[in-house]
Amino acid sequence: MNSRERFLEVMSFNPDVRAVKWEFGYWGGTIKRWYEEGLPEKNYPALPTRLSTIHSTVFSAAWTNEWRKSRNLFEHTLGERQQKIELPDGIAVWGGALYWPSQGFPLDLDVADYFNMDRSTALVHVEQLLYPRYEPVILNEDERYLNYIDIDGITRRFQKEEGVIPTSMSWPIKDWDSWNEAKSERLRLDNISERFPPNWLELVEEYKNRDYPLALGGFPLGFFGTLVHFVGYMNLFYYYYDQPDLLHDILQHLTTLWLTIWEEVLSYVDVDLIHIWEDISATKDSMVGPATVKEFMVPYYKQVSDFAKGHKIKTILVDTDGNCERLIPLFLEGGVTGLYPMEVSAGMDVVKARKQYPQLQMMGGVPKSDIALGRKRIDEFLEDVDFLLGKGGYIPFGDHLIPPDVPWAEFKYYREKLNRLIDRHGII
Amino acid sequence: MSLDTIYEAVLRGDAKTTAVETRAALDAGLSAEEILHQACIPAMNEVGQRFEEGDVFVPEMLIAARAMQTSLEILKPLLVEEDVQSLGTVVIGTVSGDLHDIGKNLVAMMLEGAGFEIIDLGTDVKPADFVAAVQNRNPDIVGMSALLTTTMPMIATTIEALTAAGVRDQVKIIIGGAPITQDFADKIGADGYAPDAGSAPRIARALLGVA
Repeated sequence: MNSRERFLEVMSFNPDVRAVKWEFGYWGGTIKRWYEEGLPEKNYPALPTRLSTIHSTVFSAAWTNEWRKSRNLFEHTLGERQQKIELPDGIAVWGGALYWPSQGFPLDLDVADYFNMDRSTALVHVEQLLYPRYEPVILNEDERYLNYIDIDGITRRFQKEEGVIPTSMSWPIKDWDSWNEAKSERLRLDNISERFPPNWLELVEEYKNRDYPLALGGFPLGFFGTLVHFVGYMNLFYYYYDQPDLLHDILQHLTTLWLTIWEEVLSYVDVDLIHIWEDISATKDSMVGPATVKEFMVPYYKQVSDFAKGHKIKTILVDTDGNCERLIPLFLEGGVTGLYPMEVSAGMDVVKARKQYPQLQMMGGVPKSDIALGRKRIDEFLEDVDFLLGKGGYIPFGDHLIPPDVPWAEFKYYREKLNRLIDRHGII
Repeated sequence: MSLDTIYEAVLRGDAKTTAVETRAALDAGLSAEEILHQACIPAMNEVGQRFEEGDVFVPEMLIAARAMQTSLEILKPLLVEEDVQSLGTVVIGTVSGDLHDIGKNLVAMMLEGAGFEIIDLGTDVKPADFVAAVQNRNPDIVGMSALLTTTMPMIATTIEALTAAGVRDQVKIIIGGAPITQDFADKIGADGYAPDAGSAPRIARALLGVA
């Protein structure tokens, strides 16, 4: 059974099929540590270097700045040379459950190969948000910082020494005027076909014969997530009270845009799921309350879930991060079918969630930092995973990126034991 | 009664009414200290408690803090004249390597709303800069934030720097951020752990032994 078939069966709660073997991902520092501690290096994670293509990537201008400066004129003219770019410690490396090239994060192949994990999910290759993108511009640079305008128009700061994900400093959408400008220039409804890559028909043939789950959506598409992406967290929190009409206009236009793009995609090929990126909770609770979610998110989720039903897409997964327990009923009201990464580290009680919502698809649920605490702790938390695997509709993995304080030996113990557990649940 | 009106206006995040009622209260002869300590600070303490209990969320906390700020802007010169003291001084920053500031900003707002004086060092603050701030500004509390598992070790590094500089015992250290836990705080020798911005004022007051 291939990765796609397995994903569809597991998400349908088929008790005969073992869960998919994926991880959420790892920090760059973690992978580099593991290479030193025994992970065989066969395919070092490859950072995307293209800055402004249909699938160009947020943050890439920062990750590849030093590499770009080191290239000679020939290389600039003729195109990228094959070269290993060292992973920044603070870059995310995808582990198979997600692979969203739009964030400039590479995909791990070596950990997946070592543990014989299942093939990664993939996003449909089409521009789903800003088109055309902004051209990246380096504003200024010193020993410590790189300040630049990214492909999404956001001004970001990159701290070179630590190499963590760049921080957003200012955003292009600030008011009705700037929103109307973005709407008419980069979010039009009358040029949908231009959002597809030149090799779209070739891709369609590959998609039709795929052995991996194919998704629409992904970063930065979400009804909280994209608003954060457009205006920044603090501004958004004020706008819920100061500019509710502006937010509704943005949300409705985005929903219409996404459904129009997806309709076009589906006229060529079917997909297996929709991924929505929210990151609405960082820690023990959601950043916004149920009343805000009900007014500013549920109506738009209902439009997406109605669309999905009409096109026989049975799975809508939302990336919430943190502890989103209080929002589960509202997500279900909106037609969402599953949530991840069910951060136990933030207080999510995944066993309670399964008992309370027996048909909720769940991914994640493994307290990532606890892997470093050793085998006794690993054995303890895998008992909950064993329970969840017995109930179906669950894909276990670390509840966010595995941090660099997890030694390779402990991760190996955890992952090998988890794989054995997965194999015990299901005959296929 | 003006104080109740100010209290309610801050609680619901009504900045306009807060400003109008603050001026009215001053015109009616109330002191800046009375307005601050009997309306504004109690309202923000209530907001903090409701946030801890999960009854209000970040947007509601922000608009309440904004409302209180409008009152504070009117009261500040008068508080100086009346020689009203803050509950204590807090130096706050996100640790070296971390550029995230939302959590830190929320905590700073809540502490200011509770009557503390805030010295905000910003983000990506090197250990040496925390040390310098303690040496030069003589705070009661140092607050440190880290949002990433990759940057949280810098909190421990900063505490070591404060110890090496001989100023560790002069301050109480409160830490917070998404990956931070009570266990981590205990392990590295922090004095307090704030799981969220709402709890920060309560923890700060407890560490300093003030009401």
